[in-house]
Amino acid sequence: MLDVKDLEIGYGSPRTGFHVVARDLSMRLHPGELVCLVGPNGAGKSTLMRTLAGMQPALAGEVLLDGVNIHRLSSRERARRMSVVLTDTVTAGLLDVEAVVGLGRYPHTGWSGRLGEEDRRVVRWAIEAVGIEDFLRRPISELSDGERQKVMIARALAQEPRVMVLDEITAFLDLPRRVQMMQLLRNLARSSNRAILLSTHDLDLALRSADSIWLMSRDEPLAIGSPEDLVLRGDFESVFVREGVDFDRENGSFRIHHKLGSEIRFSGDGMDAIWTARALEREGFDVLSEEPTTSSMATGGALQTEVHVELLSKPGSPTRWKLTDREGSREYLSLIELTRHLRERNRSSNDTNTSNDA
Amino acid sequence: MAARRRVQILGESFPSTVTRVAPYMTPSSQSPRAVARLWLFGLLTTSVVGMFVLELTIGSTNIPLAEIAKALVGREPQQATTVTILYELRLPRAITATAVGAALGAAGLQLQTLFRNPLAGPWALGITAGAQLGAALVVVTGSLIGSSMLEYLAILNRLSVVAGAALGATLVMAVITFISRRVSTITLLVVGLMLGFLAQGLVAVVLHFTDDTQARIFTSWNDGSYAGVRWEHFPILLPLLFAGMVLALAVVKPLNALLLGERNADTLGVAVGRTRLAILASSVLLAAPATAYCGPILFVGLIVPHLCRGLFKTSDHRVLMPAVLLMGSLLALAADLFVNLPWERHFLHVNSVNALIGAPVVIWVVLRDRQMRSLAL
Repeated sequence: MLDVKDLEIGYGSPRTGFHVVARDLSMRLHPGELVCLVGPNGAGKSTLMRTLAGMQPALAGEVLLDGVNIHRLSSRERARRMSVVLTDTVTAGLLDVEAVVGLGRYPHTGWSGRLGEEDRRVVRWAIEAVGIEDFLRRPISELSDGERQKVMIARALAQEPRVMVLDEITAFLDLPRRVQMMQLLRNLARSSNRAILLSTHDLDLALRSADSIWLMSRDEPLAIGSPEDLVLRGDFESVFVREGVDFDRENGSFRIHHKLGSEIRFSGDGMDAIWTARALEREGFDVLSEEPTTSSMATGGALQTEVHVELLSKPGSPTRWKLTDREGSREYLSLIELTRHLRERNRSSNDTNTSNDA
Repeated sequence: MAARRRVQILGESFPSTVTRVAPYMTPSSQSPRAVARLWLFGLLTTSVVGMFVLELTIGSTNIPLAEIAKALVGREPQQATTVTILYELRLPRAITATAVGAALGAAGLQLQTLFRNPLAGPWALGITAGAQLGAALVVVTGSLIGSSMLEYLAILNRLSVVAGAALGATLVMAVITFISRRVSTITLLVVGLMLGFLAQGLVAVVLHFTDDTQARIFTSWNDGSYAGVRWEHFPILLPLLFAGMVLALAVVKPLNALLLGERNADTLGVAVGRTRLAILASSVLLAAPATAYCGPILFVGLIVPHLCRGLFKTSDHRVLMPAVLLMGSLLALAADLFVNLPWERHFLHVNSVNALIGAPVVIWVVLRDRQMRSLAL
């Protein structure tokens, strides 16, 4: 469907010299697949997207759309096969939403752009698929960024292309809409055998929804595979650890680390325990899980010097957290109270350390 | 088959939308908005016809409608001068105003969309000034060569001024087109304005070297008027304007796509380079002959598109293009009628009237900043 052969992307002209962003790119978009292009800023995602969309010449190699070099296709031929949504802010004067989606039929209509029966059906379908029925008559200049983005996606759908290239389209959407959009795109790819390429910063969502991931980095070759392939091969770690974030291979998620280096003992179970541990980790503690105890025996003896958090959950009454340290024990009704106290405690212990030094 | 598959897709992610009856399923031709538009078009057309008739009846001598009807069908009216006034003065003037007004409106609309700038128009892009410079150069060349023959053949002289103006306008448009590939729209507008001032400066210098007679030819042209055009000019003027209008109507679809910006238009299948050339060619065909024969007519190309957008509440060129043709005619006829009312003294110029109507409209456009933003950036 879309074949990329030995592509070299970048900027420049013979006169000014070339700046190569990436080279030796060879890949293929398969029909029925949703592909996410991810990578840190500056890796060349946008340049690649523009080159694949035929909006920027390739420095070397070629992009084949249905076997034809994309730069040799007429605009109309290209538009019938491929639709592109860009991050550009779109301002269309007083055109309303329905008219903009209708413009998606551009490569299919006659000289006046009049929509026929079939065109109108496709437009209606695209509008419903993206869920913008409620503001069809609003001028596009009055929409919010997210609404406008959805209109542009509906426009791209109305084009009925075989390949869709979407640049950062989920950026302005809220989480439910983002998930919904990914689901919609994947269903679209599957059921109509289209190929969809989506560049995104949302790694989490890409990992969960993409059929295939193209992982771009600044100086390593493009990694291609299913999300799980890339996790197992350690590609995410090698690309993103250098960018200052840790990748948790078990959860398939990224973690921001700022460690205090101090340990905390924690006992409890169930959903409350998972999220308590997470809150403590966020505060920078190394969480040492213990088996939940039926009594408060664990707080006695040698453990007295350490900090211990215990989850007190009884059926029928709200959860409480019990913090035990050298100064005794206190109970909290929410995690924010607990973490606030831990932060204060930490600050005051730092202060005593510095005053001792002086 | 394809439709069923689509419903299935929807069923998976948006089950609620399948059963709902969409209110927008009615074809647009039956919607109340379309009906309102038809009424507006009817109103505009009637106004243009009415204004045209008023142009014929009202003037330094009023001619009753019955007399006009008689003269037009070739029956002898009561006064012989009626025929002369009607055929030699008012009818050519009214036809010129109708055609030129429509042409300038259409040129303005295309330029505003192409350059994504609400203040674009034949004047702002320096096309008018280019025509002025061309005309001035022809006048001064005539005086330098000292071709006394040209002076005696007044028609020929007028034609050469016309040719100079058309050439100047085309040259400026070529420069603008060349630059427009490389710079932003705001820069382009500034360059256009500066080209205009440059041309006007050159005009002043050029006129400095001509004698009074020659300068007067230029000045009378430069005042801008629909009155100077005679029947013998129509075979050149009208076909050119007509060609420009046909071309303008032919590009309404790409103009709509260009509202989304050139990059988006490109992804929709617009051959942007060729389209831009067609739009510019149409604008030259419309603006250059109009300016050449009538002198610089200010404000019409700039404000007519805005009036139509305001009236029809849309940016759809399929509606706007016919609308600007009618509105341009109406505005030109109205301004000309006002100039030619039976005043005691005749010092009023059509451009002064245009400015009286146009300047407030421009201010209104600029102050309505949301729309300004949506068109400019």
